[in-house]
Amino acid sequence: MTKLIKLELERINLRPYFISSAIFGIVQLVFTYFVAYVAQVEQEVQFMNYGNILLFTGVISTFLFGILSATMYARLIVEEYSGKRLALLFSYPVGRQKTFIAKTLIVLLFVMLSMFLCTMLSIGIFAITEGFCPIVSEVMTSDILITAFCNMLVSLVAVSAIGLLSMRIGFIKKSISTTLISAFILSGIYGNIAISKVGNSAISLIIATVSLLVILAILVTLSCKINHMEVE
Amino acid sequence: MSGKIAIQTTRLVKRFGENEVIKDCSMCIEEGTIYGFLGVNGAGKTTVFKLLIGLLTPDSGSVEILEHNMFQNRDKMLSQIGSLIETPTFYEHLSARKNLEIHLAYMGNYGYEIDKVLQMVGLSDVGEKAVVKFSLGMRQRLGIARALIHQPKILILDEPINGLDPMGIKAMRELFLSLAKEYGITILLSSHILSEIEHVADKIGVIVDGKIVCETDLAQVKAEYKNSLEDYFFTIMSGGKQL
Repeated sequence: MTKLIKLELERINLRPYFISSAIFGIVQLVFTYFVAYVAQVEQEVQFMNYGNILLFTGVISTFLFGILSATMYARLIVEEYSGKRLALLFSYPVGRQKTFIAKTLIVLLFVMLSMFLCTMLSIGIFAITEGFCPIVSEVMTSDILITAFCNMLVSLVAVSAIGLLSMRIGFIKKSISTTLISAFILSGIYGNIAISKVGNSAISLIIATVSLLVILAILVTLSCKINHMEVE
Repeated sequence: MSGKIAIQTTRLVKRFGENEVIKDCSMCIEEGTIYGFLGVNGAGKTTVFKLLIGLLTPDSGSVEILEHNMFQNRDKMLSQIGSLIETPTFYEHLSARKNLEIHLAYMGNYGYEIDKVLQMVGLSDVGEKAVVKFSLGMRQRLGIARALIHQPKILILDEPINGLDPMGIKAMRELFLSLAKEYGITILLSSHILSEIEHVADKIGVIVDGKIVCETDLAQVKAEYKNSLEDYFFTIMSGGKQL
């Protein structure tokens, strides 16, 4: 599997996705300051505390990385399994399921890692600047940071599920645009649930569990489908 | 020629929906020979090639590659086959050399040296060039290089001389002959240019409406039809006498 992942990485051009991730990280950071500042100026009580600010920017992050994830799945998997390159891919003496899992792992790990880094950097920079030049009057406690960290872990799993589910939907019609539209809709649905669940760890647990089940189900069903695919 | 069978299909049938595109198709190719596969556009040549390398699954019938059932040993047998089906596709942003390196790694890392293969197909000078800048003829040559880099026992080439200039066609003709005669590679190739098949093939098969209507040694055709494969082909197409 490691060899397959290395080979996949050799032939994929990841540069655009690195750039996109960096841009999303900057957008997330700017958004955090923007929400904090505007809430103070407009006296928006809901966003005058760190908990809600970080929750909101977390949802924005989920949306952005959900789209990134779906874009990567669309280009690296949906396009490959629906285009002319499929004949080449299927002419390798390597199990089709293994190749599919290797591709999926690359996207899964890339998105999770980049989202993790961007979110940690964004929260970290915001927390540091709040230490000596605060915008929000509340005191930043370790509890707030731990909650933000836990929310991020749930979001990582949710983003993975959003990306994979979008890919599965896009795979039905072998369509990149269907994959991306699905990701927009699913990210929107997740965002609404995440915002409305404030402080409810049971819902977080349900989201994480459902997401993990979705990931597992899609990996199993799609790899079986790919094993029996034909190149017409 | 060793007398062993490299490729054997038995009563292959393939349907796309209600449309039966391959009907009761049987072919037999000996190891170390060159088999010219002829047929008009849409007769089913490419579909047969895809069935042979497992890109399509037959509705009935069997495919034996080197005496192994292709569908039960697909991944194992693919390492013994080099193929070029329809227009070759590449990793466009990578160089020709890198494309071959990656392909060789997927096929098991054993094969010809990349420089040697590039030389064999006449691409020695452009190994470092990105494939996106390649002409149609260069792509075709690279496709052939990719098909043979892992030293397969069988080469399946669908219209391999498409897009090649006359010098390229001649070079490929010599390459195919040397691969079969010197390296014992079995070559199955299709071409619309009958004279090319005439120059290289040991045996020919003609497919009409999804069914192989005849398989004959080329020497026999040449003897019967005064060295004209074209005459033989048109006779078959018009429903005339088979050898």
